[in-house]
Amino acid sequence: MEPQGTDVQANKVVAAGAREIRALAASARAGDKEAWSEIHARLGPMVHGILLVRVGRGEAEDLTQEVFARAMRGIGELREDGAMAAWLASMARNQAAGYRRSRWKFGAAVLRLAGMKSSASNGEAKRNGSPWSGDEVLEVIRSLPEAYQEPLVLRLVSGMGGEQIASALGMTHGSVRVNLCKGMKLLKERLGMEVRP
Amino acid sequence: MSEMQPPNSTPPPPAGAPNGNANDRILPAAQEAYLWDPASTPDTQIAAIERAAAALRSRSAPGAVARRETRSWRIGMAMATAAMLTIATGIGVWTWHAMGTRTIGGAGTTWRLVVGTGVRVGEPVATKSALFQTSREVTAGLKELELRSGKNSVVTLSPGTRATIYEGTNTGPSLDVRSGTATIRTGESDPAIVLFPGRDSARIEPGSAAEVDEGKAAPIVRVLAGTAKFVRGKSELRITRGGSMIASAADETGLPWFDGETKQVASEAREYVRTLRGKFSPQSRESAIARTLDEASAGDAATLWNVMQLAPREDAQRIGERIAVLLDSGLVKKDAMDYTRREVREMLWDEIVAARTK
Repeated sequence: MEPQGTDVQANKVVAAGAREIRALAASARAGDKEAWSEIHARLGPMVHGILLVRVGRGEAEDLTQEVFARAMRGIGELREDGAMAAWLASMARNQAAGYRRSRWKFGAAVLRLAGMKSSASNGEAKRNGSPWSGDEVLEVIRSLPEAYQEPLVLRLVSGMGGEQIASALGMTHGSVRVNLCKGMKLLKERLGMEVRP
Repeated sequence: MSEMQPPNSTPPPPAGAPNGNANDRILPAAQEAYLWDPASTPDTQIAAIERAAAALRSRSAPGAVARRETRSWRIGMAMATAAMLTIATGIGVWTWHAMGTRTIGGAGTTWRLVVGTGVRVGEPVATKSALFQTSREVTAGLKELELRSGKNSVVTLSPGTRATIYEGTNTGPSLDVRSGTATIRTGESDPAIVLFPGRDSARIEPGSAAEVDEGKAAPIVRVLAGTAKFVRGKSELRITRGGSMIASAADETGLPWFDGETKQVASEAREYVRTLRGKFSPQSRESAIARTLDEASAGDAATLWNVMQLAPREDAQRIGERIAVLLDSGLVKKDAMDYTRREVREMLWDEIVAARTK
């Protein structure tokens, strides 16, 4: 079934975005620093969202910068310019895995930062008119089956649409849609919201 | 309820998606539509979760993934909420961490700051209390900004400079200079300044001592004594001692800090850069590696790690083993790890970082 109506427009937006990313990746490969800034602006939220599933909020901010720094170094490893988003997503997962393996080694520095950030987080909680704080929502998302976590964070935190998520994660539209819906259903249940079939 | 408010046009499932039959639906149609397309009519339940999740959004990312114009009002709301949260959080953290915060200048003149405290410069409260929130952009409206962390470190941003201060994960605060200039004066290890490849430059003034660390993301410069000046847009690093330049690197490749020779530049006349350049000529590789490994001490582990990155596979393994022995952490066993694998190298780097932070 072909997309129609508003979805046609959405597909155009996504397709145009993909073309632009491809062009930006080509420019970045050629050494254009401004292209990197634009790539960061467009794909940074996605990278941050993927990291957010796996590491703490403060660490996700820092590791997002690290992912892009690594990408700048390793742009030669990107085989296909059109795969920039998926490549960054993969780097983000690897970065998070490496961080989780080693985070205990950072000792006092981490504890100091954790103390500062937990204090900040507590002050932030439940001040946005929502019954839950961001951390509470994130905690519940992390308790869901793994397949639902990334799509939900990219949708709810990064503000990406289903097609953008599918493109970034290298998944079919159907898989993303199912994961989003099943994940949202579980999320609502665990947040104590009314769930209707 | 939102379920009673159908979207303007419920989008059909895209290719490969479930067929959208009501019997196959996991959520009400309106919720599925909004979940798939944030530009469609908002669902109240999902929107409530989104509002909570908005607090998790990246604060350092300059923009968001391309969205439709129709979402702009909600983006604006989210940004306004984030700004309010930032102010509230800053005040809370400041209250908790207020010791040592002092104002040394009036509005728009000079600010003295404590890392991790305060609110964003440019906000009304900032003109009164001289506080600054890390991970926030320094904007126009101030003549000079000083960042204090640790015992003696001070960073001064020239008028009109745009920069972002990050708390970092293992090195303390770092400064990303986006335009203009920033000066870091006598200090200890904090704050550090992150140099982005091909974009930033650092010049350590005569008589100064500084250390360049690769960091896990980008090179980080720590000024041990004297003054260093960082300028965006020029890729150059000069470290001088007693008026003589002992090390420099120019932007020839666009990624000057990752050429393997300037990754680790120790201060105090170690001259790693020149030494390594001399040792690693193709003609004398074997003897150079053997000599380097033999002479290396624990303090050279980071340098060796960088050499390992460049070395051929057969050399990388023995360099990695040497680093493991030098660190003597008991966590990386000799002959038990494959240092040609990236993840193993990263673990080894983590060991180096851990040793440096002890």
